[in-house]
Amino acid sequence: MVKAPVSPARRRKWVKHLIDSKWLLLMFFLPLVYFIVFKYGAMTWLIIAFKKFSAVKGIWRSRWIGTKYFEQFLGDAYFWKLVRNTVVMNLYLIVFSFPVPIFLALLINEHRVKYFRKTVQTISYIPYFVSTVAVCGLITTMLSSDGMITNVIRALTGSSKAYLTDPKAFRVIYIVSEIWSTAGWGSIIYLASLAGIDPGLYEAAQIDGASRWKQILHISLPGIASVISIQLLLTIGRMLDIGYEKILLLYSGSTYETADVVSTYLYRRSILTADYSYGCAISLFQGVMSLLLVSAANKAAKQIGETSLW
Amino acid sequence: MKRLLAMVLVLMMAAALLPASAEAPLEITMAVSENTLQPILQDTVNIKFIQEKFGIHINLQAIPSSDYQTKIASFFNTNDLPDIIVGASLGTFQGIEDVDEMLVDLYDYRECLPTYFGLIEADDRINATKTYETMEEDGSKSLYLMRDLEYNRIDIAPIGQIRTDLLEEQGIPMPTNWDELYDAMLKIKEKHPDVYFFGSRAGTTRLIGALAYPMGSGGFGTFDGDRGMYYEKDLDKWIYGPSQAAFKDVIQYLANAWKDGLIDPDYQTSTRDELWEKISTGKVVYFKDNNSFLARVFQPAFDQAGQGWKMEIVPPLANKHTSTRELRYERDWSDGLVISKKCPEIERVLKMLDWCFTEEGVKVMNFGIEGETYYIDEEGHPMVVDSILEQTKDAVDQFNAIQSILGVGCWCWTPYIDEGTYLQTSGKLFIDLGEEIRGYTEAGLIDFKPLVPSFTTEENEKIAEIELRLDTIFDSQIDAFITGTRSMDEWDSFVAELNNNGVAELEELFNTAYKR
Amino acid sequence: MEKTKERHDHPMKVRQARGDRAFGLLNTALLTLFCLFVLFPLVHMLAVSFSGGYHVLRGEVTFWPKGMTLYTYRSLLSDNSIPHAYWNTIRYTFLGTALAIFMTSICAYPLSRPKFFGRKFFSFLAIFTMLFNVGMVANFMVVYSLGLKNTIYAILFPTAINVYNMVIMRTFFQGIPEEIYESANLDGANDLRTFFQIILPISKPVIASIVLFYAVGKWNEFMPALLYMDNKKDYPMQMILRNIVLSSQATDTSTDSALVGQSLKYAAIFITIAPILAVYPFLQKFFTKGIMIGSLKG
Repeated sequence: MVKAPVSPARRRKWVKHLIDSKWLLLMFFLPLVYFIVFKYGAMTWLIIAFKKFSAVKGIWRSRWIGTKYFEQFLGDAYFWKLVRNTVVMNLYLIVFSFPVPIFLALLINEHRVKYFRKTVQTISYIPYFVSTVAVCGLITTMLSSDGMITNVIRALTGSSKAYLTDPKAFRVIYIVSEIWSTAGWGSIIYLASLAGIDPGLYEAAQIDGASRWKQILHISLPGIASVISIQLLLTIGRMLDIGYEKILLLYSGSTYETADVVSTYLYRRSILTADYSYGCAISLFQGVMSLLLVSAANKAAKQIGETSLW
Repeated sequence: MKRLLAMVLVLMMAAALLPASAEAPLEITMAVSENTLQPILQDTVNIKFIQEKFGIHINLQAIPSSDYQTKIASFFNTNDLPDIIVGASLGTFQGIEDVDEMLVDLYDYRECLPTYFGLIEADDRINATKTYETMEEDGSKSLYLMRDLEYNRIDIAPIGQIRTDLLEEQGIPMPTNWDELYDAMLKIKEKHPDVYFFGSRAGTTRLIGALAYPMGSGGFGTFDGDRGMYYEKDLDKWIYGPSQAAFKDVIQYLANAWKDGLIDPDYQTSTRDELWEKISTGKVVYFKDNNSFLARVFQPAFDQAGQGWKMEIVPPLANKHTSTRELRYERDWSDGLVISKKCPEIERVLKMLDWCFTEEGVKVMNFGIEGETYYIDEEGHPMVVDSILEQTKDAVDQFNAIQSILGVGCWCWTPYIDEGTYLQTSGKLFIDLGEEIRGYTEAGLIDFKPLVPSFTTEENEKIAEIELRLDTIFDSQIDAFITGTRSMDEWDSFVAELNNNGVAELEELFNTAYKR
Repeated sequence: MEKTKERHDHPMKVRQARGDRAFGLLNTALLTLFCLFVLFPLVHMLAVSFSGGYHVLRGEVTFWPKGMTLYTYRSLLSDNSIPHAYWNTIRYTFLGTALAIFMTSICAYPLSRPKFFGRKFFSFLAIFTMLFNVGMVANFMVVYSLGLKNTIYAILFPTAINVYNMVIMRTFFQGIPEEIYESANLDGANDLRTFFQIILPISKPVIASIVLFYAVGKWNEFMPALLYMDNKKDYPMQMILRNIVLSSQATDTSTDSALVGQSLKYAAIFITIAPILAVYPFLQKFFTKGIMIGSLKG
C-alpha cells in the first residue's frame, strides 16, 4: 500500500463498490458470523489431533504429542490396502449406484400419467427414512441361508451360497442396498432440474420429429449435465466417509478382503472411543484427503469438459 | 416473662435448625443408561426413601443405552460430569487424560464406605478388586469404579445346550466328551439332514471362544471383545490362544464339523434374533449360549409350538488336553458407578451409597418398601406385591417391567443386586438351570472368567495396536480354515504369521501387568 | 409438470407414435419394477410389524401378517415417552427448518449478486466448509464451549446453513432475470426490500425444495440431541427409535433379556416415517419449477 498507492480513481471505485453493497453486507453479517463461529471455530479445535486433550487443562494447555496418531495409521502397511478397498468400493458406487437416480428421474419425468408419476416418487423415497441399522438387519435376514433372497436365487438357479460372507458378493450387496436406500431420494434434485428445462425446447424437437429417446439424449441430459457433474464431484469428496455405519454392521472377518475400508479400520482402531484427540486426528486426515480428492477431480473435470466446481 | 418465652422459642428453633442444616436437602444428578425394556422412572419408592432418610434427592438422567458410551465420553471430554455416572466400566475412562482430577478416588474415602470396602476387600473379591485399580504416574493406585456386586444372582454361563428329544429319539445318551458329542451330532444329522448344530450370535470369534477353553485351549472368551489373550490356569499366566497347539484341535474340530454339514451356514453373520429364530424353529439343535435363554426364550417357544421338543444343558465335556472345564462370566459385574469430584458433599453422598450395600439398603434398592411394593413370604424371600405383577403381566419382559417400576436392578442404578424377582416372573426351569450351573461351578467344572489385569495408559495403547494387527489377520483368515478354503496343513504358517506380529510382546505386556 | 400433456397433444407421425408407445410401455415397466424392488422389503417389514411374536420368531412371516396384532403399535404409542419425543421432533424440525431457511436465504442472496463486495472471497469461505468436514468432535466442542448445551439453540444453530442447499438457492437467484432487479432498483427499493418483497415471493419452488431437504434432515437427526441434551424430556423420536432398533441387535451381554421383537423394531420405524410421508404430497406440488445447482464458484 505504501509503495504503490492506489490511484484515487481506483480507490473511489473500491469505496463505491463497498457502499453499494452495504445492504448486502448487512444481510451477509449473520451468515458470516455463523461460518466463523461454527465452522472455522470448529477447525481450530482440530489442533487437539496433535495433543493429548485434557478437559481439565483445556485446548491450549494440553500436552503436545505431535503426529503420533497419524504416524500410527499411516505407517501401517495394511492401511494402504484399505485405501485401495475404499477407492474400489467408491468406483463401483460411482459406476453402478450414482447413475440410478438420474435414470429414475428421466423415466419419471417422461412418464405421462400424473398419478403414476407421483406414486412412483412417493414410494421411492420411503427407504431413505429407514435407518441404516434397520436396513442392515434386513439385509442379514434376507441373505441368510434360508432368507427370502437366498430362496429366490435358489429357486431360479438351483443353487445358492452364503452371500454375506463371500468377499466377491459383498460389494454387490453393499451397492444394491445403497441403491435401495438412496436412489429415490437422490432423484429429487434431478427431477427438479428437469422441470426447469424450457418446455419450448421439447416442442421444437417434436416438430422436428425427434423421438423421445432423442429428446432425452439431446435435451434432458444436457439440461441436467451441470447438476450431474457437481453431484459427482461432491460424491468424490465424500469418498473416505463411506461405510462408517453400514459396512461396520455388515462385514465380517471373511469379507475384510474387499469390505474393510479406511473408516471401518479407523473405527476398530479406536478402542478408546472416549479419546477425542484420536477422533480429531481421524477427522483431520479424512478432511484433508477429501479436499485433495475433490481438487484433483475438479482439475480433471476442467480438463475434460468445461464444468468445474470453482 | 415474654422475653424469656421469646428466648426459649428462639433457642428451640435454633436447636431444631441445627441438625436440619447438617442434613440440608441435597440434589444430585445421576446419569443412567436406559434400556428400551426398562424405562427409567423418576421418583420411584427407593428414591423417595433415600430422600427421607438422607435428605438427598437423586435426579436420574436417563440416556439411551445404545449411545450411552458416546454420551459419557462427551462428559469426560468437557470435564462436565453428572455427580454420579452409573454403568461406567474401566474402558469408560481408560485413556482419558487427567482422570484423577475428575473422579473421586474411593481409597481417599475409606471411612465413608465401610460396608463396601468390607465386601470388596474380603478374601473372595480382593483379587478382582485389584484389577480395577488404576496406576497413577507417581506409582500410587486409585480406585475410581464402585462396581456392581451380586447379592443374589441367578447363575448364568454360556453352556452347551442340546435338544434331548432328538438324543432320545436316536437312543443316544448325553455326551460326556467332545468326540461323543460329535458322534451324536452325526447320528442326528443323518436322520434330520436339515438341522445344524453350532451357531453364533456374534460372529466367528464367539463360536470359537465358546469351544476353545472347554476343549483345553482358550482365547476369545465368551464376550467383551474378540480378545485372543486368555488366562491359562494350568500355567498361571496369560497366553495368546491361537498360537497354542491345542487351539489347532479346536479349529480342526470345527473344520470337520463344517465338512460334515454340522455348522449353521450363517454362523459368521447371524444376529441374535436370527439365531434365536433358528433355535426356536428347530433348525439349530445344539449350541452354546446362556442357560437363561433356554429357560426364558427357547423352552417357552417349544412349549408354545407343542411338539414335545425339549432342550437341556450338556454337562461340561471332557477334553484331551486339560481337566474338564467351562468358562462363565466373571463374578459380579464389570461395570459400576463413578463419582465426580465436583459432586457436592461427597462424604454424605458416599455414605448414602455405602448404605446401599447394607441389608436394609439391599432390600430398598432391589424390592422397594416392605408392605408397599413387596412382602416377605413364608420362606423368607422378598416377593413383589400382586398389584405390580398384575400391572406388568403384558410387558415384553415382565422382569424388566417390574424393575422399571421399582427403579432398581443393573439396568437402573442398584449397586448390590438381588435378582430374587425372577422367582416370580420366570418359571421354575430358570431357577433350576441356575442351580445346575452353580453346582458345576462348585464342583470345579466351570471357572469364572478371570479379569484382565489393569494396565497403564501406555501399555493400553501398545496393546490396542498389537491386538488390532493380530485380530485383523486372525479374523480375515480363520473362516477360510473352518470352511475348508484353506487347508489345515497351512495352519503352522498362519500361526507363524501371527507370532511375527507381536504375540510375544503382547504376552509379555499382560504377564507384567498380571504380576504387578 | 403440465408440459408432458401438451407434448402429447402435438400431431405426430404414426411410426414415431408407435415408437413412443413402446417407450411408454418400457418406461412403465421399468418404473414398476423399481417400485417393486423398493416395496418388497418394506412390505415385509410392515407385515412383521403387525405379526405375533412367535410367528416372527419362527420366520413364518413374509408379505402378510401372521397372528395379526396391533400390540406393537399400541405398546409403543402408550409409552408416554414416545408422544413427548414426537413433539420434540416436530418442534426441532419446525424451528430448525425455519431458522435454516432464513439463514440460508440471507446467505445465498448476497452471494448471488454480482455487485456484492467480496463475493468471491465470501463464497470461498462458505464453500470451503462444505468440502472440508471437521467431524463430530470439533463440532461438539464448539457448541459446548459456547455454552449452548441443554438449550434448543444447540440443536438449531450448528445446522443453520447447509452449504449445498445454499448453493442450490444461490443458483436459483442467479437464474432470475436481471430486469427484475433493475426495475426494483428504479422503484428505489434497496437490496433488503428487493429481496424480501420481490425475490422471495417468486422463489417459492426453490424454497419448497429446500424446506423439504432441511425438514427431512432435521427429522432424521439424532446426534445433536444425544450430544447436547442431557435430559430425557428433550430427546427426539429418532433417539428413542435408535434405542429400540439397536437393543435387539445387542450381542454382548450376560444380563440377557427376552426378545425385543423384530415386530417392535419395525413398528417403531413406521411410526417414525408416517408423518413425513403424510406431509410430502403437499410439498410435492411446489416442485414445478426447478432447483438447479450451478457451479460452486463465487
